[in-house]
Amino acid sequence: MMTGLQIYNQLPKTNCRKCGFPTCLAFAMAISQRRVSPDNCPDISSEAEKLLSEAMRPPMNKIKFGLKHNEMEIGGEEVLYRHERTFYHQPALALLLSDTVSLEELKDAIETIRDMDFELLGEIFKIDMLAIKNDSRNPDIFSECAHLARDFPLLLISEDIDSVRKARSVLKDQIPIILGDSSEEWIEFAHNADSVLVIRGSSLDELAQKSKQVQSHHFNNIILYPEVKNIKEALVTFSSSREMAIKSNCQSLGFPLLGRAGKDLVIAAHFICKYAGIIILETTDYEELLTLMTLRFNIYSDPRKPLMMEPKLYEIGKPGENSPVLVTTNFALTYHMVHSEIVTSHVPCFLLITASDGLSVLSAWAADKFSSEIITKSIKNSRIEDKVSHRKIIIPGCVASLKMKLETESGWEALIGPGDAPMIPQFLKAHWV
Amino acid sequence: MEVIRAEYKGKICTLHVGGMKRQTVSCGGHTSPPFLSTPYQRPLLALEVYDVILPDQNQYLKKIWSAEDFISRIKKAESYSPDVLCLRFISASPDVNIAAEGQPAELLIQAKAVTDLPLIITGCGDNTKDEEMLPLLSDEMKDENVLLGVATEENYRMLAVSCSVNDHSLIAETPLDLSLAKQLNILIQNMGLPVERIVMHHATAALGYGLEYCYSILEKSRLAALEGDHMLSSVMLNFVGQESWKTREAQKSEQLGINWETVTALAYIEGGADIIVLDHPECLIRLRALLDQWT
Repeated sequence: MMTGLQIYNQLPKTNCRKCGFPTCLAFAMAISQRRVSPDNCPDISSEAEKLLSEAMRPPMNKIKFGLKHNEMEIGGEEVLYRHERTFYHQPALALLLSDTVSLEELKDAIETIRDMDFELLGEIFKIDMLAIKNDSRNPDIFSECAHLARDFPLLLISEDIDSVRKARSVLKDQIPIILGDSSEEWIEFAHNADSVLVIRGSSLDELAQKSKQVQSHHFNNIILYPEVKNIKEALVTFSSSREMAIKSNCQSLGFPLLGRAGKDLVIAAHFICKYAGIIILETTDYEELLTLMTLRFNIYSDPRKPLMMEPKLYEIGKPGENSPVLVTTNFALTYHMVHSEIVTSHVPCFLLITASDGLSVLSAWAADKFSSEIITKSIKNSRIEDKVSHRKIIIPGCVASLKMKLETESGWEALIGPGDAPMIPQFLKAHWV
Repeated sequence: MEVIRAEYKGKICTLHVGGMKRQTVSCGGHTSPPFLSTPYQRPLLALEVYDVILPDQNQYLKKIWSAEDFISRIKKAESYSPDVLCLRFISASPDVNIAAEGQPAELLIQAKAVTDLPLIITGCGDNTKDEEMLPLLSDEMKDENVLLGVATEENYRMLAVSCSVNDHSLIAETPLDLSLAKQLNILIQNMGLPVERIVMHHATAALGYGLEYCYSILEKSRLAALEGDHMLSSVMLNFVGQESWKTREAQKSEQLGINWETVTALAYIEGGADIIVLDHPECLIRLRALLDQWT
């Protein structure tokens, strides 16, 4: 890793702005935060570019797999704690199916999984991938199952290389992941068959050693699977591996990790927080999956960017024409706090969310992103005037000074609400019910 | 291969709750990030009992807790063997219009006679009311080393003095900000209650409702303490039950609510929480099963 200043010393220092940054120093700072690549500078010397690219090489390899033209990426992580920068690639959740069920049953299971929608902050997510296990030990059955599931990214689990060969041959449009053995034969097969190979090991030493061996074949498309005896060992092994890769720059451990959570929701949740790149789950329970996907969404959200809500009118409960209208900014935490307090109050409300760059109320107000103009515009665009018969809007107490101007511009009466979200239920009861 | 792990010079305080005739439990004492100290000091799992059941309480929680009176609820909670019992005197709130079966102090006298579990005693969240009520409860429990709360910047003085006089510990709450947390710890320490007897609450958000902010604050707080910031070396607590059962998800189905509370709790344990306050017994059972495997 190089600091911003060390990087700056390798740049032309012409401040030509061709990279899109106002100065070379600003560009250097952006490189050090890995927001841009050094080759965005058209005038950089080839030695400097090589030096910078090498120094900025992520300590953990990024692995691509899944459907062609829509590949998934895991790994490429740079930190141990999300607040140090961010976690980049969320772990793929792979649902385990066995090839011993009938093809009809398998088809139904796949359809059920395909139909699952998970809504998180207004966005729809689907199940990432399937893991098919060759319990039948029969290459024909295994490949038939793989073929049936082929429009999901697949993880093929089999100890029998002929089964894997056969299954691989029916998956033309994807890069599958193979979990079997990590002998020379398997390495060579995965290498030639454009697949990702899972390397198994019962200790960090064994994993590091095998990983080195694989890389000596000029093959880097691997995922490490610490086969641990219990959850306690998993915890230590996963975090040691991550720390060795990131802090000690241990290249043989610089790969994503695979964890098997079985049917255990809590262990799957642990793997999401602590360092798995792929998690194999033995559940198709919608509520468990929703819980895990929400956790993953939270932990892998970028702490450098404020989480934003879509600026629009939200209906909480079943508000009618006499229901209160509250307004606040689109900072997700602000929204969630206000939302949660409105739910607590049991008063159905309209909550108007303004386009305020994801800033909290006071920051947005100070930056002129929560002004009377912006609120007035939101009122007009949201068509709230068609939904309520009154013309009263509750504004956050900390921006009471907006009242006069807002009333003049919007024609609505501005009620000064509480300064803190937890006071909302009390406020609604006192002023509305 | 030699596994190199970061070494830390700081140490997290050890907190004891309980004493006299009461069972005693402890938490904290870590010298590395969550789960990596040996021997591993596991977090305490507390079960929460409210003095009144509010009409807008989550329907599934109501089903579990509302049939009986306060004392029966305590006995019921005790039957699940939590590490700690959290008694929450919410009826004192100016927003609550339901009368409890008695004044908080009277209820506490009855309560402490029926259980010998270590106790967390919390108020209604209204700074002024809590400042009046909690010292009375603190006096009632003198020398039994309870964990009292919640103190904020507004009302910490009375509560700190009361805890110091009666030999209790105090929960100090600040909103997602390490400098505010540190400042409140210093202020409380200046009132005579040492940092070892303070439990930090950096705010709790449920899964999907800003959990990541609280999660990262816990991680930052814990790392700062391990790196040697003694004024942040207090143990940390999260009120997971209350927040989890307020969510939309927990209104939809009981199972989803249990998942929500369990995974929210797990995330805070990963972040470094030493005390987790839960509302649903099933969640306590699941987390305990996990911790049993871990320790």
